[in-house]
Amino acid sequence: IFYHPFSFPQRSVPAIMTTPSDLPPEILDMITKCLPVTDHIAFSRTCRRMRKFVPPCEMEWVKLEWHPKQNMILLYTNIEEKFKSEPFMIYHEQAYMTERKMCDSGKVDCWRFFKCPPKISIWLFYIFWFFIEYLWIWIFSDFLPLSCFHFSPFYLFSVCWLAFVFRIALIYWPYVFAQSNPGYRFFKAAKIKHLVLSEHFRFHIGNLEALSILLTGCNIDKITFIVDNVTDANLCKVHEFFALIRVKKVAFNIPKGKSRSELTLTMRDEFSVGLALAGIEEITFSSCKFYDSDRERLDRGFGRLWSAFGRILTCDSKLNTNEIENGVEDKSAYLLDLLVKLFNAGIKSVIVNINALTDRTTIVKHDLDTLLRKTAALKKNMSLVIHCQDEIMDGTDAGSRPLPKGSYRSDDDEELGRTVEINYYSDSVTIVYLSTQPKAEL
Amino acid sequence: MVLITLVSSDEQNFPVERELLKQSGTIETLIVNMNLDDEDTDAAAMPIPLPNVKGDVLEKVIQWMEHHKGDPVKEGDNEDNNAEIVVPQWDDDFFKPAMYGSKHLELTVAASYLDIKNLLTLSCKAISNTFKGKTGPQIREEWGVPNEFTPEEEEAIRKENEWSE
Repeated sequence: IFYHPFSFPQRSVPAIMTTPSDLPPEILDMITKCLPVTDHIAFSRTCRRMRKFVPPCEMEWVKLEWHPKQNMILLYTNIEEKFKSEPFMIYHEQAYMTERKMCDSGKVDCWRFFKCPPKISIWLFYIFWFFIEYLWIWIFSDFLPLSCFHFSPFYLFSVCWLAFVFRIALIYWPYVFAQSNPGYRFFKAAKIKHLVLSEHFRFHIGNLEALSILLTGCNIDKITFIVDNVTDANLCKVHEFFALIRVKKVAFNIPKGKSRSELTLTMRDEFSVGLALAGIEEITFSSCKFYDSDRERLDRGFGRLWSAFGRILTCDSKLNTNEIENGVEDKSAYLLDLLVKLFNAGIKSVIVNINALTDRTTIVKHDLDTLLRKTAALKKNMSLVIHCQDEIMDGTDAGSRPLPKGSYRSDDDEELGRTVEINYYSDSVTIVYLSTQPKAEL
Repeated sequence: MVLITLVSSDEQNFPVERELLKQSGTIETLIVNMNLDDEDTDAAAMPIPLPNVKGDVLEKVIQWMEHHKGDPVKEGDNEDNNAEIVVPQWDDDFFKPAMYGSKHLELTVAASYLDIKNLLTLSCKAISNTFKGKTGPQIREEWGVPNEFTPEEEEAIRKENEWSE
């Protein structure tokens, strides 16, 4: 044979290839890339070389959906199948899985919770109430005249007592059931990137307990939820919950309502300190247009009694109405005080959508200067991003002008060895403290 | 029509159209670098040795290239080599007779060696299709892979992948 001046490289492949395991690694890699996870695993179980070549697969939770109406939870995984875990017992914003289902590891990009629509629970309550009422009347109609019975204190007490017991059963039965299965948990070591609790998922004790058990052992990067009065009442439990799920970032979504009473919880010292102790590093405040019309109707009408029972049973501490009414009067001071409190507690990063915390849509330079002065004394590294709808004004009077957009530095604080850089662009202000002395204690 | 002769490892000569060889990245690079497509030089008469490809495999490769003459040639890495690729009917019929045997594996290796990206992609996909929906023992049986695992190892592997069953 005539050998060409340009010789081809020789490859080290077996002289006779009989099985796929004889193929070179680069080709095996291409073949396994074509395989879904289940076949990937089967391929790895053919021989030792394949087992070595194909690493053990990790099931990846791509998506999780909770469908309360169907009493069902769906897990979408990377093995292109749906694991159906049912039945769920759902009672008024709560769900609990009855069968033990566990996996060694998993990843969830986004987990959304949806509560059972309140209408169902209300109707259940109505039906149950009337059933008990007529049962009661039927039993005692032989002994008491019906008209007397309807207006007797005994009757009222009985109905209230039954409603009370029913409420307890409604809330705590799933929890009691969970306690009887202490080994139960949904994930063993799942990594959840962002846990989003829908606006219908309220943070009361029952939900927190159920979630805590479901998420034991999970590692969650970020959690987003709606802040409401129930959250306020269960603040310490919320902190415990954050610590348990080891979340680092929390996004508080504050509904735009008339009273904005939810803001009072943010001003409590235990709010910021508790968050820092729970290991929270980044906090985001944003607003949402959601308004719980069902809850409003409940509170206005028949549900007032329901809410009263619920409040008694679900709150660790009673709401301080004076605090709600008077807590957030000075909007300007409120925002600044809150930020200072958070940074002082040890939160490293705060992102604020300004209309989530105040009724204002703009910032005045004077406010920023005050904030800088206050936070400078904390001697801590911090990052603050304020998103505002309008421009930053240089004053509050009629002749005030918007600040030029761009990046500028505030006055150096030589004593602290740092400067403050304010990046002001179209819709956000970023305040980052920069150390001028690398070894300075910030 | 310019013909270039390919020589297999068992010294069989295969005169092939210059146009067909554009599908092979390896041969195309060689032809361009060595000016093999210049009819005025002696180099054009040089046969190209392919010491890693047997005659029967090279014949199959040429057959495949003839059918896919004029198809766009893939550039760069095979990033799109994934589960979404569908093996066309002609290619499926082309691979079938040699499936579950050394011929198909050698064809795949030859495609990799000659850098024929389309053939390599389809061939890998055809192999991976034979694994779909099958268990480890079933794959072993079909491909004639001897079972190297002890019962203890089998049990350990089963436990490791319990979640997928």
